[in-house]
Amino acid sequence: MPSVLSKELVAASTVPLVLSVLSAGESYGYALIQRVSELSEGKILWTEGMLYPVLHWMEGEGLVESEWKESDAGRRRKYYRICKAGRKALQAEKQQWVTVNSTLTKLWKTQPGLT
Amino acid sequence: MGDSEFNTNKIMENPARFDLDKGISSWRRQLQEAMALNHEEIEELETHLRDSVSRWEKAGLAPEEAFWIARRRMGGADELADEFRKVNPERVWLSRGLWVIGGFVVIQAVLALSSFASMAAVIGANALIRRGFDVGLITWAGRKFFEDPSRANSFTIGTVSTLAYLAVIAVLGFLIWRGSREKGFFNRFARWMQGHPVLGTVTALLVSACCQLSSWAAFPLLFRMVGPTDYGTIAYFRTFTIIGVSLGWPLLLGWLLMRLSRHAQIRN
Repeated sequence: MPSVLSKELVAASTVPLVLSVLSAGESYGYALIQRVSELSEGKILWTEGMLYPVLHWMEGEGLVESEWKESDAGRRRKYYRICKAGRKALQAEKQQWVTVNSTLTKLWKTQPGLT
Repeated sequence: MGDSEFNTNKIMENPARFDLDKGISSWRRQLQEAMALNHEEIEELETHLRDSVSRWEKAGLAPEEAFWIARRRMGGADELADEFRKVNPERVWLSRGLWVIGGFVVIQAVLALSSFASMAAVIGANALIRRGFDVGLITWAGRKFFEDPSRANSFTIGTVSTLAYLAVIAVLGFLIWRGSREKGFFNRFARWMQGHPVLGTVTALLVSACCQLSSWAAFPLLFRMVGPTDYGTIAYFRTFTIIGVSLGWPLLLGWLLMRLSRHAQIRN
């Protein structure tokens, strides 16, 4: 069963996911959606209407910066790059997600009936 | 609403000659009209849409099918606008404010133009009729009702100038209505204001101030050409014509609407 992420989890995970993808190098909206969908095996499906406002908000917060560049095909694209503040935010996010993840994993190991 | 809806029929008629740029520009127009996204955001979404179209084309779809799917996946203009508004709620107020300013300027301009038209009508009618120009029925009525030739003239000038003035207003109204319908004048104006809010507001205030001032400044000229006493008598008669017309035109409009509705029923 392809369980799609709940709305609340999508909202909570978008920023750390974007920051994580961008920490590997600059990217643009369309590629971000593709990459996350690919990595999650289609379970995290972002919509454009959700992603772009979040990207613009992140830019306003100084987590990422953007630049218009021309691609090889001659298409102008807005590329996003992670900033210093973004890397810092990603570190904090990472710790929090690891905490949640390890706690849940421990709980589920002691209660195998839950899985 | 017909214009903002994407024209399905046109695309379906000519599947072989699908024009992606046309499709995209229509899509852009819808987003612009939703007034929640700025130019750069629309540009960014357009690149996204084009990327998505290319992907579906590579997957073997015909260009117009690829466009339809890419567009569907992106969501409608209203949905997108809603999402962007959530992040920038102040934009809703900005766009409302711009509409208010725009409406204010339009009203000021129409008021100034109509006051010019009214003055010009009085000056023109005064010059013509005092020289003995005959306007048929109205001249006849003036001479019949008033023994004093000066009063008869004032009646004729008042009536003719009011009719001329109303004709000018009707033409102006028609031009504004047509401009908003066919050329998307108001949408273009709103878009421009969105791009230049400060410059737009300052220009709007200046334009409306100029409208006000120039319509005041024209009064001394009017009095010089017509003479305050004569103008007073003419204005007195104009009131009657205006009352007559303001009672008359709703009746005319009602009659027209009734005829139109009957016509529409027959066609249905």
